[in-house]
Amino acid sequence: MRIHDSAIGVVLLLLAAFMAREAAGFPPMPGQRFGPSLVPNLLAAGFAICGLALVVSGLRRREVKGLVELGEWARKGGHVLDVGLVVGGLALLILLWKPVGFLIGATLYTGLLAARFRGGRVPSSLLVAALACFVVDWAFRRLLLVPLPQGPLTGLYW
Amino acid sequence: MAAFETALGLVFEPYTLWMMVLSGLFGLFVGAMPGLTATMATALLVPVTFFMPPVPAVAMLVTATAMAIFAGDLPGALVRIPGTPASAAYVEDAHRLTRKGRAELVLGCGLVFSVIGGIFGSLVLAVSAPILAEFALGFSSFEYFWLALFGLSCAVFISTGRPVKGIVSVLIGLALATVGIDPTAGHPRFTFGSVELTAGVSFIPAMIGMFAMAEVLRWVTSARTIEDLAGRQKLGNVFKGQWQLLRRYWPNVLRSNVVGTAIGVLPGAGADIAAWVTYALSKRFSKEPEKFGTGHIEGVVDAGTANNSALAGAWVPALVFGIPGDTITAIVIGVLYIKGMNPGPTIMLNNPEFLYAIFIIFVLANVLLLPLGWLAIKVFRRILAIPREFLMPMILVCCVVGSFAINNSVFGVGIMLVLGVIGYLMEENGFPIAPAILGLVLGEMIETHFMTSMIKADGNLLAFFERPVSAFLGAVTLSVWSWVAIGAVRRSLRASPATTGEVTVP
Repeated sequence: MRIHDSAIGVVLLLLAAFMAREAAGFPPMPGQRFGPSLVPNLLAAGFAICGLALVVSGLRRREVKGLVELGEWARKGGHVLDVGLVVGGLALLILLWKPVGFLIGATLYTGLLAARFRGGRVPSSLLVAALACFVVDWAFRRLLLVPLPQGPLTGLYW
Repeated sequence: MAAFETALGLVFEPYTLWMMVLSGLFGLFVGAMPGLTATMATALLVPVTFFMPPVPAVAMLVTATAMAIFAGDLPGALVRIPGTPASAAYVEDAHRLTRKGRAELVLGCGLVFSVIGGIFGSLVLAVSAPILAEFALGFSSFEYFWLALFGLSCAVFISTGRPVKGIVSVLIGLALATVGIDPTAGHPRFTFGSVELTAGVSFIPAMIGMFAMAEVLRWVTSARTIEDLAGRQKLGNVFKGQWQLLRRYWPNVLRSNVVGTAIGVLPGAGADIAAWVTYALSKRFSKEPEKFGTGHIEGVVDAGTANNSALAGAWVPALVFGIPGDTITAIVIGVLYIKGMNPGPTIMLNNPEFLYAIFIIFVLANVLLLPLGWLAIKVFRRILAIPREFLMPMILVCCVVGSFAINNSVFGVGIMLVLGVIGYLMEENGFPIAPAILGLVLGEMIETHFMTSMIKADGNLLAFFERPVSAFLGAVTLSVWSWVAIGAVRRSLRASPATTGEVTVP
């Protein structure tokens, strides 16, 4: 997904303004003329200069038609939906991390994604995903003692 | 000598050796998978190393990366997709040689010359690190500030694409590093009231997101097809003909070892840049430059040697100054801090056995590359047969677990997701990722040394040039910036008439 350089430049200018505004609220160090705001202000200045350079070069080069160009892949059936599923599914997994637990959540996420990439075949995809997630859960919870949430399965296995 | 003996004992423990073999197999698998990089192998291994003593943890990372860089040659030769960016420079020659039925020679060459390069780089690391560490003991905050800034500058200007995009990338990394409690006054910055953000943006989830998650997104948006020559090749003895290659091209091997290690030592530049530079040098000094790109082994010998020697070279600034030589050592530095083995010149004083252990691990990992690499060549067809439709979702799960394990908090997974999407968008739009990661890793170090120096000098910027080494490093850094700025202005002036022409001519 290509974004027009000028649009990226404007985003950087806004980021610079935001950083400078936030940094204005940082207190100086006692006995010094500078403090925690010095580096953020320098970075904001850097963003502003680069943002301006990108706005100007974007207007001169015009490599991207319109503000955003999705590219060839977006024309292939369902690729945009695939990206949405990868990102949206992961966001959902984060939101339901504790109530659903890792094993159930990750199995559903990877199994359904694999089924989607394979063009169907949901049961076999879910089965392979369940086995793989079970191994990951065992390795991280049992061997490495990472407290992955178990959700409704709490107490039913190790 | 006692420290060296202790180091030998630490490395040759069965547990450490087993971990090296397992991570070696993992590195070979990741490297052989087109699209998965050595950096990704390192990032995915980090959560596994959390619970290990320092020596096996570092042994795993070193072995996995050495194997992954070699294994990148396999899909390059057989399916014309470099397994890692470090194999990209000579993929055309390697693939054309395979098409001519010389897969044995090209794969064996990748293996043997990777081992030679790796061992040479390891020896340079072993000799130079202690000397440099002793020299660096006299460094103050001024020198460290310039050194870290020089590292960032190299990362920006060596990266491909337009310098302005490299600068934006490094600024993003530095800006992310300002989130959390500020290192000098202890004031919370850009935390938006979040308790999690007061600890800052943890760079392990950031790195997993920007390299692994972004890679999955790239695969999802790609054609998802590969041209497979693997099934059509008969592979016999891959070591046949390698001695003749070494006798014929020994000056090339020597040059590539030196150049590759030197590029590795340079902060910000790693194996991929070493491969491109030595391939270009090989063509420039070759007696048969016209054969390059048509299936000629000379470039494969040169670049294949250099990319592995650069790996060990990148550890020199990482261990001696705490400044990563490439993205892999950026991850390693994080692991060393987690293990309490703070990299820097005092590592030689405080933990000499640890430093010796790293040298031994490097040599051992490269020796281990011979049998494991041979095995990888033999089973490559099976590795390639693993359906990507399953592998990519499973990589996502590993990303999730790895990001969670750093603080046992789902907040890390959120950071991984957000920075994964940002990393994908950055690469799609020509913004290199490596400078952002180096900015994030070095951000706190740069700010701490900068602010300490400012306080020492009472705000007088000329104090940054008063000490001899500091003045030298400052002059070099400013020269790099001036050189690039002058180049950009020249290009802009040259481009102006043409642009005007485009606008006025209908």
